[in-house]
Amino acid sequence: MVDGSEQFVALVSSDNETFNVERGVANVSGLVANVLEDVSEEETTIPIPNVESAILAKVIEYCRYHYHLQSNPQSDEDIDKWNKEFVRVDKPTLFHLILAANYMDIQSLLDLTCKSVADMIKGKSAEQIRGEFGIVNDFTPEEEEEIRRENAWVEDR
Amino acid sequence: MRPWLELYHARLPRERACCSSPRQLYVRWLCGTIERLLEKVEQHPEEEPNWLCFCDKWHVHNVLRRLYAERQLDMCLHIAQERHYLHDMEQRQQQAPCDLGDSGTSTLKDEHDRVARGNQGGIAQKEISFSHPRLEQHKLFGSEISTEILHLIFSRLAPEDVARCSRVCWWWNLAARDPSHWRRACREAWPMDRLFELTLATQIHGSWKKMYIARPRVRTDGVYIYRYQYVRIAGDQAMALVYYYRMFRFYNDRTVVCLTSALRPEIAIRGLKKQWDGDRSRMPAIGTFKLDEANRIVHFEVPQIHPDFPLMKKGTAGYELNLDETHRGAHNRLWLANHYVLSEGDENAVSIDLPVVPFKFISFADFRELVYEYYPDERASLRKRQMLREKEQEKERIQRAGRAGHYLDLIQRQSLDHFHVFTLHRAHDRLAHVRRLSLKLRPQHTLDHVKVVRRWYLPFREAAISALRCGSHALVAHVDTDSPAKTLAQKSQRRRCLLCRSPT
Repeated sequence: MVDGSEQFVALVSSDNETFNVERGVANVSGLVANVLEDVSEEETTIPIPNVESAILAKVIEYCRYHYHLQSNPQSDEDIDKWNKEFVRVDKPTLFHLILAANYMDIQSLLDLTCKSVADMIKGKSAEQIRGEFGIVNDFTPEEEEEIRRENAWVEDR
Repeated sequence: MRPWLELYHARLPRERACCSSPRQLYVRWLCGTIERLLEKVEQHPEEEPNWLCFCDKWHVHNVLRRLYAERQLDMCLHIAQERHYLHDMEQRQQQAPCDLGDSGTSTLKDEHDRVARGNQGGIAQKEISFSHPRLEQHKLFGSEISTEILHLIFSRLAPEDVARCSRVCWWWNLAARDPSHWRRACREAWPMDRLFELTLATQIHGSWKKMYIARPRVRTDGVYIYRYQYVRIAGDQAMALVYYYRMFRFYNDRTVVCLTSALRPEIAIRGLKKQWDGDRSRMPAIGTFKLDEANRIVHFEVPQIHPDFPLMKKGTAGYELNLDETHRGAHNRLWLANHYVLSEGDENAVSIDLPVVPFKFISFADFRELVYEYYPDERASLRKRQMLREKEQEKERIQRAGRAGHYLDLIQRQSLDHFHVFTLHRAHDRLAHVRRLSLKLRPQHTLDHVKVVRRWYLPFREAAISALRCGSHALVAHVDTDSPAKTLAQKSQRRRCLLCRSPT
């Protein structure tokens, strides 16, 4: 940020944990930026009611890294590497991150997390996807046949 | 909100999951409730059945239709009288009786409007307040993938992948049906059409997804491939089967990349790029294609360049292909209908013989398997290569293990009690300095730590350098049983070298 003075914003997660972060870092989130624009200068506590503390910590980690990239840029490879490392988490965390990124309006994080899930799905058959995400096939045989017929154009060689 | 959606939102995911659409769930629920009621009536005929379970006029209405469809007229009348619904029933009787299970959404909606308008019966409306559990909160089948997440993820997937996803489970199927994905797919597939043109076209096809499937298009998630082959005869003796592949890759922006290559297809596809920045001799031909949707004809011309053969004539190659499919919507065959070459300076184009087999589509997702399925000899040759490589590796491994094992054996039997070990320090891949140590190999040295240099007799310096290349802290054990005291310089020319990696 240009104003130089390190202002802090308190983000409060759904389970009432407070995270003090620099204003610039918090501004990476579109939601927080919008709220900060609307409220007065003194008001610096922003509740994030949809995000748990563990996830919020992750999101702030992401925001901090990407905020500091503005002042000291790194090579694309390094950023990619960092991003890849960042999304190497278990699936529930990843899904929570998607929701949090969507809610907090952080487009790049949303893209990153969704992309990493999309990569798990890409080019796989239904059976493989079920295995990957631990999903039970709950179609009745008739339904399965119907849906198979409907989507046969993808499988047909 | 329509009642089936309302019901659907109120249901537990497990129940939802056993139907393929909210409407189906609704129908099942209605049937189930009616059956239960009928059972009750049969068992306790004296008891007044509780019709209030259908207290929403919507449900009453649909139950009536359902019963009517099943010719349960008595019951029908009963409910109708009870709910002051007779008037409405008579109206409907004149119209064709329709089965709820088959009738489309629009019919139901019309009916709903009619009921809303003709609601003079003064039905005491008792609203059922369905609970709307927050869908995101549902733990679904162990993983927490809600529709919202699925929507976000699917919006970043190719349409083919979305279609594949709809076969995963009922829940995913629902998410994959979201028209927004298919709208995006259509906009990407026909970028030249304006939105209102596309929207008009959906009216013809029925929906975005149906349009995406049915409307002719070339697929962009893979390549169309054909193998040309012929027998070349040289003189009386020699004969060779020559084959090469031709591949077309289409892009949504109407670019086509055409590659002719004798390489194995899985290697050759790496060269199918719009922006070519590699070796000029391998550059694919890039052009623009036109798709005649009415006649399903793809036409394009690409430049013919021969960077490696400057004397060959330059020109243009033209292709006219008929788009065909093995399944509705697959768009996976291209029949070459016309193929010509127009060389520079020539007036007439030369037609080229047409293959009798179409270009087959292979998606990138399962490229390798499909190529081998279509061209089994490629698989055979791959297997042969793999076997050869494996054999070689095995041979080397045995050799290495044998030698290293020999040394390890010697070490473990302590017959080599005196030998020199030098620690090596890496500096810019050169030997910086060698520190001489006298060291006994310890029991923790295993076969993994022992690596024998390839040549038995290596000058020490070379051995040390190759040791450095193996790992940063390699040790060179100088194995010499007869005279350990002699200086290194004297013996450096003919020396057996044993490389050990220090156990960290």
